[in-house]
Amino acid sequence: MSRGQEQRRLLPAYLATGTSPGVGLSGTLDSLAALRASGMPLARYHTAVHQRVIELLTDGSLSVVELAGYLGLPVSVTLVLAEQLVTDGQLKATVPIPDALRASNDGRPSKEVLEEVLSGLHALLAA
Amino acid sequence: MTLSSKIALALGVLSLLLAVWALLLARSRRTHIRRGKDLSAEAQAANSRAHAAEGRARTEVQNRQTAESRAQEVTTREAEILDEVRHLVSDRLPALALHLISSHHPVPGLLHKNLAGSEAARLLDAVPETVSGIVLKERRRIDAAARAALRGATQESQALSYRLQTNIVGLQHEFSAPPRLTQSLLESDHLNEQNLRLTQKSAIVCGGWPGHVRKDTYVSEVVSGASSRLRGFDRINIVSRLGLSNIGVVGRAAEPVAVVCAELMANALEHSRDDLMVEVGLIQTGNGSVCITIDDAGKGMTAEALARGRSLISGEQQEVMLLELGDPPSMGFAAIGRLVADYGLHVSIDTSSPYGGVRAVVSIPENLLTSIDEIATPPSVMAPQPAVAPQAHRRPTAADSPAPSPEPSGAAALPQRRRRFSATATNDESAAAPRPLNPEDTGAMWSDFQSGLTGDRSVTDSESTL
Repeated sequence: MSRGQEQRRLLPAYLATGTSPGVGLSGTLDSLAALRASGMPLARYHTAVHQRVIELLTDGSLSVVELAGYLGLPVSVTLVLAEQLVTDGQLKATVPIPDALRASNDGRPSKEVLEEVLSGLHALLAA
Repeated sequence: MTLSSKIALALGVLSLLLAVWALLLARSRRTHIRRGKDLSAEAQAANSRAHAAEGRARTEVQNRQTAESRAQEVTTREAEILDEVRHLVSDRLPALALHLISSHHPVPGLLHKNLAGSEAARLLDAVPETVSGIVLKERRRIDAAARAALRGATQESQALSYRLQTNIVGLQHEFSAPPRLTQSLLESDHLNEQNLRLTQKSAIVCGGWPGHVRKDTYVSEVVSGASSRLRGFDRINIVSRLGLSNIGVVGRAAEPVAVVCAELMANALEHSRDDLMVEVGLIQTGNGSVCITIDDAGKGMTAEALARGRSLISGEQQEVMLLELGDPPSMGFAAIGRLVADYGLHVSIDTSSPYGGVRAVVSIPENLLTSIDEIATPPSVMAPQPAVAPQAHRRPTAADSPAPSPEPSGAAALPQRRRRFSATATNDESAAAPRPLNPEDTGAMWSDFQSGLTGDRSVTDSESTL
């Protein structure tokens, strides 16, 4: 799928999510939400890609978009994967800070917020 | 003269007389005899004449009798032939029609065995032969026409399905799709993929080609891709036991192998219960070919179905007719047979599955295999990883997590990141140490960050919390 756009894709994205109907999915997760593994073992119905997600998130956290990059899957599909695992308990999600996103130009954090972050990081480095 | 002389004279005369009489008697007797002889000869001649006449009369009777019997024979022969013709029309030809549909229907022979060898029998026997020849020829013609029609229709439908697929994939890549929508898109994608498989299969049976040439593709990707075309693909468990993870199928054979695997998996899924898994294994054999084993725990196949399936997948059948595939035609094995014949794969099915069902083995010969550069084109995450490869569950030690060193090797397929180093740091015994506090750190950092933002907006406040 990632190789050559002129080629017909061989592996459809639903292989990653499985065919179980997504009735339980809330749709609250944002593509910038930070994810990390909770340490709960996977169930039998989880796919190899779920396993891979857990592997990637075991030692740290990644946002959904980053995860999509690592998996080579569309962000929307990765979002479904993340929602499935958060619903099942294998992942913990930290929602992005709404204030930071709301402030100004369409969803991006404002300059002030970024400055705050920068100064926070400076403080961390100094500590 | 004396008395004695007189007596003597008298005696002499008497004897003379007697002699004369005797002579006369003798003569008359001789003539009598001669006359008697003549008479008997005459009688004999008459007798023989009578005999001859009698003989002629007898042969005449005989002739008449033979003529009568021949006439009798002719009428019986006529009746027999008429009988045979009637038998031909009412029994033999209908039986032949059934026989041509299914060869286990017997076709009766001649009714009267005494006709065997005659011209009439030859002609009568030639009728079914000629009829079956004509019927078979016509059947092939009609079947070829049906296949051509189906091929045209399926290829168009296939092209449309590909376009639909392109659209759906494009939508999946849309950034802002909410999960519900994504899921229904994925469902549509799956439905379309199933439809694609069915049309593709029909097209192949009808002489079409698989649809497209791929680039060289990993075997594991081909098999996963094949499974994704089926309803209930969750029940397919693919385990790769390939020693090398970079084994690929050459481009021209990738799609055919996928179609063959999809059909065999479809059979396995169809014939096993909903809660039973279908086990698929990938192994590389000693002679360099790659085998894909597909085991199901289903009911298995009857000997008849097995024999039929084997003859279809052998690829030796030159022409597969739709008529022979049943109603509705079961095209899976026929499609496999065509691909086997065209691409030199080898497929076998038998009932020696460890689970009592059917085991199918697809063997990809060495000349259809290649190796793929895993760095340039890493395998998809959706393809099964070789069973030996991922040791990635190792926890990183607290020591090596804060100091990311440059990427040590190209062993892992994906772009490297700090947390992936654990996969290569294999000899570190301390890797088994308790889980480092990294996530908690991260969590704390995030909450600090959040509290910094949600608290007061003043810079000094946020600094003080840090």
